[in-house]
Amino acid sequence: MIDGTIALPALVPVDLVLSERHLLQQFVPDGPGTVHFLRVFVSSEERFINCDRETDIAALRLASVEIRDRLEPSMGERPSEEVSAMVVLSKQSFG
Amino acid sequence: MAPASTSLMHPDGPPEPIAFRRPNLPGVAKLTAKERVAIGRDAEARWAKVMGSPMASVYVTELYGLAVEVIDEIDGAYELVAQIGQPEPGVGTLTVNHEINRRPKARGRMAPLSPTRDRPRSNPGRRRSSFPGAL
Repeated sequence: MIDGTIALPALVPVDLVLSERHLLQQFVPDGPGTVHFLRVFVSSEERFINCDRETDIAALRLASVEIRDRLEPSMGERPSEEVSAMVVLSKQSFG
Repeated sequence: MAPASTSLMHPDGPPEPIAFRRPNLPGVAKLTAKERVAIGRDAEARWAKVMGSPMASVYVTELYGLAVEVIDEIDGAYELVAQIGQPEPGVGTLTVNHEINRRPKARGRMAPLSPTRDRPRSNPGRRRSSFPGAL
Protein backbone atom coordinates (compact mmCIF):
# COMPACT_ATOMS: atom_id res chain seq x y z
CA MET A 1 0.00 0.00 0.00
CA ILE A 2 2.84 2.36 0.85
CA ASP A 3 4.42 2.24 -2.61
CA GLY A 4 1.11 2.76 -4.37
CA THR A 5 0.83 -0.74 -5.78
CA ILE A 6 -2.38 -1.74 -4.03
CA ALA A 7 -4.73 -3.67 -6.26
CA LEU A 8 -8.12 -2.08 -6.79
CA PRO A 9 -10.91 -2.34 -5.91
CA ALA A 10 -10.09 -2.88 -2.26
CA LEU A 11 -11.59 -2.67 1.22
CA VAL A 12 -9.61 -1.76 4.31
CA PRO A 13 -11.54 -2.77 7.45
CA VAL A 14 -10.22 -1.24 10.66
CA ASP A 15 -10.91 -2.44 14.23
CA LEU A 16 -13.61 -4.92 13.36
CA VAL A 17 -14.57 -8.40 14.54
CA LEU A 18 -15.59 -10.72 11.71
CA SER A 19 -17.08 -14.17 12.02
CA GLU A 20 -15.47 -15.28 8.74
CA ARG A 21 -12.35 -14.11 6.96
CA HIS A 22 -14.04 -13.84 3.57
CA LEU A 23 -17.16 -12.09 4.87
CA LEU A 24 -16.28 -8.72 3.36
CA GLN A 25 -15.57 -9.90 -0.17
CA GLN A 26 -19.22 -9.40 -1.06
CA PHE A 27 -18.93 -5.70 -0.18
CA VAL A 28 -15.95 -4.90 -2.41
CA PRO A 29 -17.30 -2.39 -4.97
CA ASP A 30 -17.25 -3.28 -8.66
CA GLY A 31 -16.65 -6.98 -8.28
CA PRO A 32 -13.90 -9.16 -6.82
CA GLY A 33 -11.17 -7.21 -5.09
CA THR A 34 -8.75 -7.27 -2.21
CA VAL A 35 -9.47 -6.89 1.48
CA HIS A 36 -6.62 -5.48 3.58
CA PHE A 37 -7.22 -6.07 7.27
CA LEU A 38 -6.06 -3.44 9.74
CA ARG A 39 -6.63 -4.82 13.24
CA VAL A 40 -9.33 -7.36 12.56
CA PHE A 41 -10.22 -10.37 14.69
CA VAL A 42 -11.63 -13.39 12.82
CA SER A 43 -13.58 -15.29 15.45
CA SER A 44 -14.03 -18.53 13.51
CA GLU A 45 -10.25 -18.89 13.20
CA GLU A 46 -9.33 -17.28 16.53
CA ARG A 47 -6.83 -15.10 14.69
CA PHE A 48 -5.87 -11.47 14.95
CA ILE A 49 -4.88 -9.96 11.62
CA ASN A 50 -3.03 -6.68 11.31
CA CYS A 51 -1.78 -5.89 7.79
CA ASP A 52 -0.03 -9.08 6.69
CA ARG A 53 0.72 -10.23 10.23
CA GLU A 54 -1.51 -12.86 11.81
CA THR A 55 -1.57 -14.16 15.36
CA ASP A 56 -3.18 -17.49 16.17
CA ILE A 57 -4.16 -16.79 19.75
CA ALA A 58 -5.03 -20.44 20.45
CA ALA A 59 -1.51 -21.51 19.46
CA LEU A 60 0.02 -18.58 21.33
CA ARG A 61 -1.92 -19.49 24.46
CA LEU A 62 -0.88 -23.13 24.17
CA ALA A 63 2.80 -22.18 23.90
CA SER A 64 2.44 -19.86 26.90
CA VAL A 65 0.72 -22.54 28.97
CA GLU A 66 3.57 -24.93 28.23
CA ILE A 67 6.12 -22.35 29.39
CA ARG A 68 4.11 -21.53 32.52
CA ASP A 69 3.55 -25.17 33.45
CA ARG A 70 7.18 -26.05 32.88
CA LEU A 71 8.48 -23.25 35.09
CA GLU A 72 5.78 -23.38 37.76
CA PRO A 73 7.51 -26.03 39.94
CA SER A 74 10.66 -23.94 40.05
CA MET A 75 9.03 -20.69 41.04
CA GLY A 76 8.61 -21.48 44.70
CA GLU A 77 6.55 -19.18 46.89
CA ARG A 78 6.00 -15.88 45.17
CA PRO A 79 5.41 -12.60 46.94
CA SER A 80 1.87 -11.27 46.79
CA GLU A 81 3.06 -7.88 45.55
CA GLU A 82 5.49 -6.73 42.88
CA VAL A 83 9.04 -6.78 44.15
CA SER A 84 12.25 -5.25 42.94
CA ALA A 85 15.67 -6.81 43.19
CA MET A 86 19.32 -6.04 42.68
CA VAL A 87 21.48 -8.73 41.13
CA VAL A 88 25.17 -8.29 41.94
CA LEU A 89 27.52 -9.58 39.24
CA SER A 90 31.25 -9.94 39.63
CA LYS A 91 33.99 -11.96 37.96
CA GLN A 92 33.23 -14.77 40.39
CA SER A 93 29.66 -14.91 39.06
CA PHE A 94 30.98 -16.27 35.78
CA GLY A 95 33.23 -18.90 37.28
CA MET B 1 15.80 -7.47 50.82
CA ALA B 2 16.79 -11.00 49.94
CA PRO B 3 18.52 -11.48 46.58
CA ALA B 4 16.36 -12.73 43.73
CA SER B 5 18.19 -16.02 43.57
CA THR B 6 16.87 -17.07 46.95
CA SER B 7 13.58 -15.21 47.24
CA LEU B 8 12.11 -16.03 43.85
CA MET B 9 13.51 -19.42 42.97
CA HIS B 10 12.71 -22.85 44.27
CA PRO B 11 15.30 -24.14 46.78
CA ASP B 12 15.77 -27.29 44.70
CA GLY B 13 17.55 -25.23 42.08
CA PRO B 14 16.92 -24.29 38.47
CA PRO B 15 14.40 -26.21 36.41
CA GLU B 16 15.22 -28.79 33.81
CA PRO B 17 15.48 -27.45 30.24
CA ILE B 18 12.16 -26.81 28.61
CA ALA B 19 11.23 -29.44 26.07
CA PHE B 20 9.76 -27.34 23.31
CA ARG B 21 6.87 -29.55 22.36
CA ARG B 22 5.19 -28.36 19.23
CA PRO B 23 1.41 -28.15 19.02
CA ASN B 24 -0.21 -29.96 16.13
CA LEU B 25 -1.03 -26.90 14.07
CA PRO B 26 -1.09 -26.26 10.33
CA GLY B 27 1.98 -24.05 10.46
CA VAL B 28 3.89 -26.65 12.44
CA ALA B 29 2.91 -29.54 10.20
CA LYS B 30 4.91 -27.93 7.38
CA LEU B 31 8.14 -28.53 9.28
CA THR B 32 10.11 -31.63 8.35
CA ALA B 33 11.30 -34.02 11.03
CA LYS B 34 14.86 -32.81 10.45
CA GLU B 35 13.76 -29.19 10.94
CA ARG B 36 11.91 -30.08 14.14
CA VAL B 37 15.03 -31.76 15.56
CA ALA B 38 17.18 -28.77 14.58
CA ILE B 39 14.78 -26.31 16.24
CA GLY B 40 14.58 -28.42 19.38
CA ARG B 41 18.36 -28.80 19.59
CA ASP B 42 18.85 -25.08 19.06
CA ALA B 43 16.29 -24.22 21.74
CA GLU B 44 17.82 -26.63 24.24
CA ALA B 45 21.29 -25.17 23.62
CA ARG B 46 19.97 -21.65 24.19
CA TRP B 47 18.12 -22.74 27.30
CA ALA B 48 21.25 -24.41 28.71
CA LYS B 49 23.15 -21.14 28.23
CA VAL B 50 20.42 -19.22 30.03
CA MET B 51 20.40 -21.62 32.97
CA GLY B 52 24.17 -21.46 33.24
CA SER B 53 24.06 -17.69 33.60
CA PRO B 54 24.17 -15.92 36.96
CA MET B 55 21.06 -14.10 35.72
CA ALA B 56 19.14 -17.38 35.36
CA SER B 57 16.76 -16.73 38.26
CA VAL B 58 15.84 -13.31 36.89
CA TYR B 59 15.24 -14.69 33.42
CA VAL B 60 13.11 -17.59 34.62
CA THR B 61 11.04 -15.28 36.81
CA GLU B 62 10.48 -12.87 33.91
CA LEU B 63 9.72 -15.68 31.49
CA TYR B 64 7.16 -17.15 33.85
CA GLY B 65 5.53 -13.77 34.42
CA LEU B 66 5.32 -13.02 30.71
CA ALA B 67 3.73 -16.38 29.97
CA VAL B 68 1.12 -15.79 32.68
CA GLU B 69 0.42 -12.31 31.31
CA VAL B 70 -0.12 -13.64 27.80
CA ILE B 71 -2.49 -16.34 29.06
CA ASP B 72 -4.49 -13.80 31.08
CA GLU B 73 -4.76 -11.41 28.13
CA ILE B 74 -5.87 -14.10 25.72
CA ASP B 75 -8.39 -15.45 28.23
CA GLY B 76 -9.72 -11.91 28.49
CA ALA B 77 -10.08 -11.77 24.72
CA TYR B 78 -11.95 -15.08 24.76
CA GLU B 79 -14.36 -13.69 27.34
CA LEU B 80 -15.04 -10.68 25.14
CA VAL B 81 -15.66 -12.92 22.14
CA ALA B 82 -18.03 -15.03 24.23
CA GLN B 83 -19.99 -11.88 25.08
CA ILE B 84 -20.48 -11.25 21.37
CA GLY B 85 -21.69 -14.81 20.94
CA GLN B 86 -20.89 -17.33 18.27
CA PRO B 87 -22.80 -16.81 15.01
CA GLU B 88 -24.90 -19.58 13.59
CA PRO B 89 -23.14 -21.64 10.92
CA GLY B 90 -23.32 -19.93 7.57
CA VAL B 91 -24.42 -16.63 9.05
CA GLY B 92 -21.70 -14.02 8.75
CA THR B 93 -21.45 -11.35 11.41
CA LEU B 94 -19.54 -8.10 11.63
CA THR B 95 -19.06 -6.58 15.06
CA VAL B 96 -17.38 -3.48 16.40
CA ASN B 97 -15.44 -4.13 19.59
CA HIS B 98 -12.37 -2.01 20.05
CA GLU B 99 -11.27 -3.80 23.19
CA ILE B 100 -10.88 -7.13 21.41
CA ASN B 101 -8.68 -5.58 18.79
CA ARG B 102 -6.42 -4.10 21.44
CA ARG B 103 -5.70 -7.58 22.75
CA PRO B 104 -3.00 -8.40 20.17
CA LYS B 105 -0.53 -6.80 22.55
CA ALA B 106 -0.24 -10.33 23.93
CA ARG B 107 1.91 -10.95 20.90
CA GLY B 108 4.20 -8.10 21.91
CA ARG B 109 4.43 -9.62 25.39
CA MET B 110 6.14 -12.62 23.84
CA ALA B 111 8.80 -10.53 22.10
CA PRO B 112 11.05 -10.20 25.17
CA LEU B 113 11.42 -13.97 25.28
CA SER B 114 14.53 -13.45 23.21
CA PRO B 115 16.24 -16.83 23.72
CA THR B 116 13.19 -18.52 22.29
CA ARG B 117 13.17 -16.32 19.22
CA ASP B 118 15.66 -15.95 16.41
CA ARG B 119 16.09 -12.53 14.90
CA PRO B 120 19.71 -12.21 13.70
CA ARG B 121 21.07 -8.71 14.24
CA SER B 122 22.97 -8.92 10.95
CA ASN B 123 19.65 -9.19 9.14
CA PRO B 124 17.04 -7.37 11.22
CA GLY B 125 14.44 -7.64 8.50
CA ARG B 126 14.33 -11.40 8.75
CA ARG B 127 11.60 -12.82 10.93
CA ARG B 128 11.37 -16.37 12.15
CA SER B 129 8.95 -17.16 14.90
CA SER B 130 9.80 -19.65 17.58
CA PHE B 131 6.09 -20.32 17.78
CA PRO B 132 5.35 -21.53 14.26
CA GLY B 133 1.67 -21.47 13.61
CA ALA B 134 1.10 -18.87 16.32
CA LEU B 135 3.00 -15.81 15.17
